[in-house]
Amino acid sequence: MKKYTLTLILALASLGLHAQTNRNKTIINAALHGWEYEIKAGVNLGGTAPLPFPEEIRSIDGYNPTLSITIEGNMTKWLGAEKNWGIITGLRLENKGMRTKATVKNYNMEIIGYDGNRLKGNWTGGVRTKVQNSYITIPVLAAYQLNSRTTLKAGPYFSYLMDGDFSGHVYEGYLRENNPTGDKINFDNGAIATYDFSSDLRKFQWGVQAGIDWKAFKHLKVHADLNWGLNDIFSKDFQTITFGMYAIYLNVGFGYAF
Amino acid sequence: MLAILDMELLNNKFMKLKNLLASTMTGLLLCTSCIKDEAPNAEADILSCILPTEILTGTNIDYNRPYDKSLNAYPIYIEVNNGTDLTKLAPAFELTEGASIEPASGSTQNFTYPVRYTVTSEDKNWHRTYAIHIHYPETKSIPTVFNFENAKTVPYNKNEYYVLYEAATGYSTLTWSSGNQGFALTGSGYTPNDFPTGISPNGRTGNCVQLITRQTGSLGAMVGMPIAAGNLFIGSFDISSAMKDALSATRFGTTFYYEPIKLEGYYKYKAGPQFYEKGEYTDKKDVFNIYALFYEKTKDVQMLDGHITKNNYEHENMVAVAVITDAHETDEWTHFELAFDYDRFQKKVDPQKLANGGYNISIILSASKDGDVFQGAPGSTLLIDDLELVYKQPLR
Repeated sequence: MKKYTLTLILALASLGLHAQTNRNKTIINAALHGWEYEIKAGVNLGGTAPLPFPEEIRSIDGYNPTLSITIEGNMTKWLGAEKNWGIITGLRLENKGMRTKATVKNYNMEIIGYDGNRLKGNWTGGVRTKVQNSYITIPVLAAYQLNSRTTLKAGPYFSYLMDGDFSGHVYEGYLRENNPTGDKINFDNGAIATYDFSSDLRKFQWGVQAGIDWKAFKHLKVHADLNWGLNDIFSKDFQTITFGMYAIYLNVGFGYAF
Repeated sequence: MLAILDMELLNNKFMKLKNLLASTMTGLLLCTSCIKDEAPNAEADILSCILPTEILTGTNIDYNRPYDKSLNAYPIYIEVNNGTDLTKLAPAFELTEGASIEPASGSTQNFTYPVRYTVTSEDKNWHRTYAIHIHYPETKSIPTVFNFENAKTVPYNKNEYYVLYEAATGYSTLTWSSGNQGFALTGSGYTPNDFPTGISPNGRTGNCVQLITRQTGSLGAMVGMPIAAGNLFIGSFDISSAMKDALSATRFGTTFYYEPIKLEGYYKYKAGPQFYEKGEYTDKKDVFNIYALFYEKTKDVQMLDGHITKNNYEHENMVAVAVITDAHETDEWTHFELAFDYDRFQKKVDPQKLANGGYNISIILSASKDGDVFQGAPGSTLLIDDLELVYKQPLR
């Protein structure tokens, strides 16, 4: 992700310089034809979570949104005579991450190891989860210009997972082997069982996003977009987590409009 | 210049916006992801069994024994004093919260034979059947000659593994313990011969015990237990503490009415090709261990556990220890003779206490000496046959 980010920053910087010198010509010309360009930076705040929470989850004991940076370059084509409706598309490099601590009760799980070995049972106790996924995302949004400063936009987005991490450990609790009446195996005194489901993450993600842009100054915009994942972050054949997990993040940041 | 100014102003605005949005987001998460009401309990355990203290011998009751196929139930053994009327006992039970039991807690039952109790979980979906044995203290000795001819298979987690036992007329049956139950959790589809502890037809006479150090695969690695040493011991294996403190899961000892003098027998040993410790393979050569403990039981200490080797066999209850010192690789049946060292602990054996079952013995065999801390060479194979515990004949 770092590598991609750096490349994009360099590209945008040179684009910026280029744009400075040629603004009078190119940008104004483009604007006359209804085109607008913008580069944006922001952070993703949110979580990858089951919706609604299953009854097995008893409490959320800790949550850290982590610093999940997004960088986006996009273009808007304004349509019609009034030019208040438009289409936005672009390219976004983004991290979606979080760290949580939760307590679950009688959570039915089946751990499948990399060698195919399985352990099925019911877990009661603590679960720590770390999610840090990097995506390359293409949004396709409809835009409506409310007034000269405010733009509303909504539409689907499509993401490709470049690098994923979904891992953690269980602690302070016990496993009932196979079912709630099976043998009780205690994990305490610092005993943990680690898990890593990174390789079970789905490569293609999609969802919907809706948000608002607010033009603070001529070239500077702030934005807030809610990104709501509509497919499970795990592949279909992944059985360990019995409920669907969805990425729901709020992206806030600012952008430079050319 | 203007752009920099813009940025600063914007940064301020952005921070305010970020705070606002972060709190909105938290609110949103809380709202959409409300914690649901707690479901009724699904577990159905007997947590403790209450009987008048004056009839109990004080021996610990193990509520975590594995399912017994022949009983079709989870067994619980309770030792009571000689002379207790077994025909009219009314044990009371402490159960998982919300669970119920049939026959009722506190009802009078005839314990001449084991009594079956069924516990039903609070959510009514799960049942656990127990067979409660209330018995007098065992007065017969365990066998003192071990030929490793007999094994039965026990099903566990879609596997079956061997449990070895030694039966001889005039003696109580000794069922050997091992860590096989823990290994069974690390995978499925194993045959009994894939387990660390098994029986082999290639004995010195007939069958022998076969102990092989195994890798535990991905699931073993998840809990920091990447290998499982083939092991066999007199005592019990407590699966419930296997993960939190593996050394306390192996509980060594059974009542012994004699003073042991020496432990002798025959072994063959081949060390595995690569030694595994702390996440990597090293050039270290694996070695096995054979030892025996003789210790007195006290009110607080009924059993010694796997920590004893890590403490160099030191414990205040220890009376004598026998440890192999010249363990080496060999493909011939090699005789060994280990004398019990009493001098080290400077303790006198009380003959009355001995006759009353106040002392325990344990024999522990392991294919990897440091297998108890998950270090050893996968493939290390220890065969042992014709083991004998030589003891002082009591004066009659």
